[in-house]
Amino acid sequence: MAANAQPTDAQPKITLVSSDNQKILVDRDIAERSVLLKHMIQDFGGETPDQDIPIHNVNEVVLKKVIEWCEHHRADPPATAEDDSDNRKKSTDIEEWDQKFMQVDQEMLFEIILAANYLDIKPLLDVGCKTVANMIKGKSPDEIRKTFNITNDFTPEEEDQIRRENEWAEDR
Amino acid sequence: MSTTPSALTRVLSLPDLLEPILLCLPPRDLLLAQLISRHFHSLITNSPLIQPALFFRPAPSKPNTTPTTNPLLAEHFPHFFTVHEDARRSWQLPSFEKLMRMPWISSLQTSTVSRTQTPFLRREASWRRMLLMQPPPRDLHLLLQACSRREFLSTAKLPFAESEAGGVTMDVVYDIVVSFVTVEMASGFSLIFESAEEGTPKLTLRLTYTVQCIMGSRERTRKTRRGILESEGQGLVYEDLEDKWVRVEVED
Repeated sequence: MAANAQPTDAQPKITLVSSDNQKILVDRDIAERSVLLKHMIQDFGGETPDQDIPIHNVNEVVLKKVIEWCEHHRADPPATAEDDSDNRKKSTDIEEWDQKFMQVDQEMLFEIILAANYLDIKPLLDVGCKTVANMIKGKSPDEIRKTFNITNDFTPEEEDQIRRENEWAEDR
Repeated sequence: MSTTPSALTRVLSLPDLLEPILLCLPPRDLLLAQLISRHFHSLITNSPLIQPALFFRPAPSKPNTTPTTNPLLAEHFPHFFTVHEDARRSWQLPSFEKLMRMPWISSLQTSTVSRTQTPFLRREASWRRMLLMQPPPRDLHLLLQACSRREFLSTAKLPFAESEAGGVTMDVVYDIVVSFVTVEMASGFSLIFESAEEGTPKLTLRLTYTVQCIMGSRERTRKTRRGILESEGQGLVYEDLEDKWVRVEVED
């Protein structure tokens, strides 16, 4: 399943330590998909650091999953400012590989979003947000609350008011 | 360890993460997401990114971008957003009869439904506060065209830059059109969008009617139409515009 045929032995490697103290060895270019790690590595003066890098907020299972994503996307061109345009954001189209990658249980999906946010991996965060958006799309507020275990904390009057304002959009 | 909130709870409670999730939604789902909980409602009504996405506030204008039409309004008010290729063929423009066939108005004609029961016609319906396009036109240009033997033209300009939404909103356009086609016989309307090289697009509402010579019929039509469609002084209506028109000379 390697995304490219290059022998990875030649790559300088970095040791990441998960929040549950597990060491994970990754290629430097894969670690650098994370802007946080990229900046940390730059702080070592551009040399590949030989000491372990602790990732305090991400456990081993989630970190491995994130690294799996980074490996598949190692050859992607870096995101440009242009990509941030509204058109791209609004679309909930997700490429096939990423869709399969995100077929995990709900808690793992949100763990990946938190990790992508912490590690500053923008394209992975986008895929995560789109996946959650797809779970909201087309559902009624009640179904959404059930899906995400959200409590309806409106008073009946408040809820009625907001419904009256927006009921016109409910019919397709 | 088990007392820490779940990842789901943490993501949905962080505005920095919930906001990009909501911004991925189509406008209809985004609008209705306000009903999920207080937290969702407060984020949607306060976010400086989400409010422009719902056309409630002006989007920052970027150079060289083509204006975006409000997709929810275009879907629900198709007659206002249809482009009419040949503007001179006024008889092809949407008229009173066409408006009467729009779903929420036609339901009024079957007497069981009252005005307040119709979600579209409520004063507080949120479409009324929506901008027609982004970046929003700051003025509504009006063009009144009377077709008789000679053509008469009058124009007016209503400024909206200082309004709460910072541009032309749907309530004004809708109220003027409905009151106009209700009062004038053989009348039609169209919206003309012109994008400007720099700055905000220009929006013109064109109202056309035919001068009728049949005595008394205008009053009768008015009455019948009003019966179907009451204008409860919702906002600015056509009749209020009388002192705003400027007569324009037309060459033959």
